[in-house]
Amino acid sequence: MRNYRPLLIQDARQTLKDPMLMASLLGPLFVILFTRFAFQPLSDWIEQHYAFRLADYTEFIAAFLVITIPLLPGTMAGLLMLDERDENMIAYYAVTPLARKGYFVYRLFLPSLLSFALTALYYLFSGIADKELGSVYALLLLTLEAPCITLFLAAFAANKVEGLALSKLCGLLFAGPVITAFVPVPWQYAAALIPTFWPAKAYLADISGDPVVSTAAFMIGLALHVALLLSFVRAFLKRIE
Amino acid sequence: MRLTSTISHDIRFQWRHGFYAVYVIVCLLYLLLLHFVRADYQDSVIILLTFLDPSAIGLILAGGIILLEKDQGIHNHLFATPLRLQEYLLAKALSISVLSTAAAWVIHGFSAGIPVSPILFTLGILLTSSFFTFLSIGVVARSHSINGFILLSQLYSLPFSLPLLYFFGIGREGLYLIFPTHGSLLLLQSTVRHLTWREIIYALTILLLWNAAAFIWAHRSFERRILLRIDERREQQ
Repeated sequence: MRNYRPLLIQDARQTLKDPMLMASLLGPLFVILFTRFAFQPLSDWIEQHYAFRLADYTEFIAAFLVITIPLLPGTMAGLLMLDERDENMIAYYAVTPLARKGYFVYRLFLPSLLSFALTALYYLFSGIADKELGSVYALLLLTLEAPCITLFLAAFAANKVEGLALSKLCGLLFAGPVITAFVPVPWQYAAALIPTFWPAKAYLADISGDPVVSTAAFMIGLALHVALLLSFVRAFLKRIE
Repeated sequence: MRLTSTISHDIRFQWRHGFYAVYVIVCLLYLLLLHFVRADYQDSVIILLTFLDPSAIGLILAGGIILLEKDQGIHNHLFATPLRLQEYLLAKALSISVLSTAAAWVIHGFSAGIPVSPILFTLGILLTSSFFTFLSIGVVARSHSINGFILLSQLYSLPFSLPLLYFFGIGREGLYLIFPTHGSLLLLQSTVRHLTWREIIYALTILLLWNAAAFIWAHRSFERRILLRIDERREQQ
């Protein structure tokens, strides 16, 4: 822990200076405040002007908006790692007591922690999300989502420009809940490789009163996330060697 | 000639770093999404998608490229060649506009067919894309890290998304006339209806004026905050 302290202090200082680090905290908080206070008035306004009942899709919207929470800190940490790699900072960290592995663990720990805390906050206080078993499953899977995104960017992008291109691709993650909610079974399983498919499936299945499907979705999702994480770690280590 | 070769170099750079490949996937996803959108909302969703994505791609892409060039120390050598700063900036805007226009045409062409006014649609995408590219260059000259740049670019571009409120029927048109993006949205609407001459002249004029202003701002920012600092560092050494 002592080794991490300088990096933690530096990051805490940087959070105040670097607006993007701040955004990864404030962005999800904005989503929570939006769903808590603006969702209902917006829903009423849309119904009044466009005769479209947004409220009928509350469960889907809850599963959809939560995706932004791991996406922000995950992308931010990935781009930060690319920035540090472009500036040869990783080689510098490697010769400090932290060592290369410590740096690497630390950079993944922060987005995971932010993702866990802010997703939990979302389920507890957004006012549109369910607080049952499905939310716990989704929370655990979404916590793993953030380091997956970070490593995906850090492992497969050669530099920050490619990181930006790949972060654009991370928008694909929003397809997970859309497919779960609107594509009929068994066709929706064609999207099984999109990681966000499984937290959305676990959450929505639990809401529709199917705890067995919800638990199965969680188990499969967990296996997929762990497999992705391990393969991304291998790819990243190969790149920095 | 120098401008043409710089544009083709920039396009090759964007190709090599996977932007075209990523946009193939992004376009496929949008087309899939549009397939599930109700027919009566489809035109509005296409306009919204082409405005928010391909048109504004330069906002993030241009800044990212310049930050990488800064890290690699390319500018020191690049501006020692006969290449002028205005050619460098124009090449960035035009090369990114090629990607924007191609993506916008794929999205529109494969979902709703050929636009009612193809020329106005293309001009709308080109001018919006170049405006956001110049804006991005002005912003990146003020940023030191990629994350800082992304947030700052969102802050600078936020006011330009206000005309979307009018698109959704909020407020009087007069409130939004000053924004170039109101012109963009008008030109994009030429995909579904014929615009009046007044609308066409207004949209093109406002976009050209803002492009000129953004170009001057980007030029000055790049000169003062990037090139001048390189010269200062060189003198110190």
